[in-house]
Amino acid sequence: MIRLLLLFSVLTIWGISNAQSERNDCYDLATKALKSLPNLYETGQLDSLHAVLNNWERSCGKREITRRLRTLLLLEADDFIEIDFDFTHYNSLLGYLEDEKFKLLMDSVHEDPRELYLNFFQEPDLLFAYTNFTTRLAASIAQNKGIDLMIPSCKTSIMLLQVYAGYFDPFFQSIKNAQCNSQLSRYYSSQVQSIEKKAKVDAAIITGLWLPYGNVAVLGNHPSLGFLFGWGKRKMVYDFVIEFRFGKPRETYEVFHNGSVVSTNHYLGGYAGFDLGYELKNRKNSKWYLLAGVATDGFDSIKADPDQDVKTKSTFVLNLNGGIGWRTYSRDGSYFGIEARHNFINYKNTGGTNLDGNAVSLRLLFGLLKNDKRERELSHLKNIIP
Amino acid sequence: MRPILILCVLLLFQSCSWLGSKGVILQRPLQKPYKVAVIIVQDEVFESSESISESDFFTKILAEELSKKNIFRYTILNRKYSLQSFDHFQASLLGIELMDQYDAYLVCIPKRKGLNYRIELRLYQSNPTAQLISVRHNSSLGNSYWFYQPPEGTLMDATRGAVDLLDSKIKKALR
Repeated sequence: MIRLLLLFSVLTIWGISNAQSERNDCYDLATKALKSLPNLYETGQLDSLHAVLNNWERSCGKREITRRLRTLLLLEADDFIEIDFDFTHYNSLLGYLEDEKFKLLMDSVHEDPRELYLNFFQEPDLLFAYTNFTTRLAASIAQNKGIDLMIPSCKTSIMLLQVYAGYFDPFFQSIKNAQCNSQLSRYYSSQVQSIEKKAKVDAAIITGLWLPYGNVAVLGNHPSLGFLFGWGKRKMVYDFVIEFRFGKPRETYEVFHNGSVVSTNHYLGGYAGFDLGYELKNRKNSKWYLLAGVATDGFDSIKADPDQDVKTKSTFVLNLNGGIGWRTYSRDGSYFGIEARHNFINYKNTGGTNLDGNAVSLRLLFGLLKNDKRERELSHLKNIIP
Repeated sequence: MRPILILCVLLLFQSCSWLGSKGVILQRPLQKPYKVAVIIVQDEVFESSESISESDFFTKILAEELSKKNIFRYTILNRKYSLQSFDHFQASLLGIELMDQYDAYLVCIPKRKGLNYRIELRLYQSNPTAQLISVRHNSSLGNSYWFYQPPEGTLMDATRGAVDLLDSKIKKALR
């Protein structure tokens, strides 16, 4: 057992030291490559340049920094094929943009940005010198090919040159242009869509009025209080709702309880179910919804009294309802809403007062429809591509 | 039925944004600050935590949010103050020190509590030294998290919440 433990320890230490030495090798290799690549390009030693790049990628994996130079070399040789530009490449391009924008921002607002960069990047000076080299290279490729980088373009190759040469504004215009059918624009719009379609959490406090009509009007109008909890996705909202109705009935009514007909003036109503809303119209911050719901609806007509050995008498029916609603949203996702619904109930009160009839319910909602993760991801993307 | 109702309402309120954000205008009407020094004051937990250094990450997010809002021109000073030694006296001394270069200074105090953050921003006038506005945003109460969020996410939300509130308080105080 001790031998086994010793063997395991030796293997673990060997594994850790191997991983450590791989990291060190990678760091040394990257440092050397960052120093040598600009020189190799400027002296026209393209074979050696490719060998260094290959070696770097083999040891450390593909990174934004190597992809950038490879892309520029392909663009220079007119060998760039749009279809080869995959989503990983798109993500690394966003990473590059984020770093560049971070550097631009910090250069303008930080008292000593250099010290900050030391905490963000390994060897920032080497990295910035390399970026200067790729920026110059992108600008010279555009110049040699007679491309005006100030003009927005729908071609991925030109958009890439714009980013790498630091012409961000025309690039932002192009990538956000829905008319552009370039690979880059497609990746961007699919990323925005995938964030936007994330569900939002819907939660609200509900208060309102319950207005029965027909024979059931004998139960009277009642104020209601409850809450809803659910989610919203695209044009739909889905909510679980619990609502209580309070107050005395309009007049005394009869129910059949424990084998006899009993007169009562007790009432405590409830609604528990699932509501759906479909967004009909969206105008600025307010939205109109078509509503539908299915729930268990009921009321207590006799209150339990353990001393008298009286048990609660409750009546439940299926409530199918539909109506229309309006919500106005503030920027932080909180909202105020109004709903009007027609509820099909027809309580069965066998042996008691006829409680046939339906009800109209009016609701006021104070709630929140938001997903902080979604907002954060959108805001982060907007920081990179404003 | 009543206890269930009360419990449900409390659970619902637990994640309402207005519970997590608080702001006070201490001087009105406010003179729009034009050049503001931004100072980050850290507590020990914040300083000693791992990764890219939360303090540097916070600097990045704060700069992005302040620039996005474009509230005032600012410079992030490269100084480290410890929360333990930073009191009103220290804040007043800063005002005297900075009054030649900046007409106001913003003291930013990020605090980590588990996976959540509380960001406090205090805006001071430098000559004469006086606190103008104080805002804070707490991600555990001010954001609706129904699922696990990484600390980078909650730090971003807390910073954005605090800067949003600072922006609205400044606009209100200028009216």
